[in-house]
Amino acid sequence: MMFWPVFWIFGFAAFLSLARAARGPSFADRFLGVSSFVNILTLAVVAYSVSIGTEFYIDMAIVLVMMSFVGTLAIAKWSPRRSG
Amino acid sequence: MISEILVFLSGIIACIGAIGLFRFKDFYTRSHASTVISVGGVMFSLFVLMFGERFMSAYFFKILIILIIMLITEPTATHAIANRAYMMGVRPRGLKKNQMESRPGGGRK
Repeated sequence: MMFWPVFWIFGFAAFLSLARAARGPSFADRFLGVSSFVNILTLAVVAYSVSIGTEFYIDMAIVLVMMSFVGTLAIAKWSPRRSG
Repeated sequence: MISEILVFLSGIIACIGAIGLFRFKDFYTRSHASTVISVGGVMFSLFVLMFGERFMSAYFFKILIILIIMLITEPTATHAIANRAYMMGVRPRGLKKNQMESRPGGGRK
């Protein structure tokens, strides 16, 4: 049984990451914020799945990690060359 | 008991990394803060949660798969983002104009 207020701390970190993604001055800061948000979301999903005692939600975390990697590489390859 | 304390500590580390990600002035220092979140927050906590369960259970192997995938893909993704930012013209703060003229990333002038 997980100590329950740890999810509030994860939520605060995810909120700060999304705030950086919302007000990033350059085009690459938004990638950085969204990537950090997906990392914290993966951690929260795994912690919740261990907390309630089933292992079936961890598959969702595996899919989140892989889709975050593929999306980051695709955006980094085909983003516009001049910053906007 | 030890597992909950360590997960709480890794949550605090992730929170410190997120504050750094929000408050730093430069793109490359923010990239450093993102790596603090990824390694000190997420990977450490997954390691703790992996060994908090029984040794050869389904939790163990699934979290081990996530750890191996993150260990390979996180430096690659951060390097790709930093390379793209360098090609887009983001320069480190407090650097003179013609101090980084040669561009090894292959960006155009």
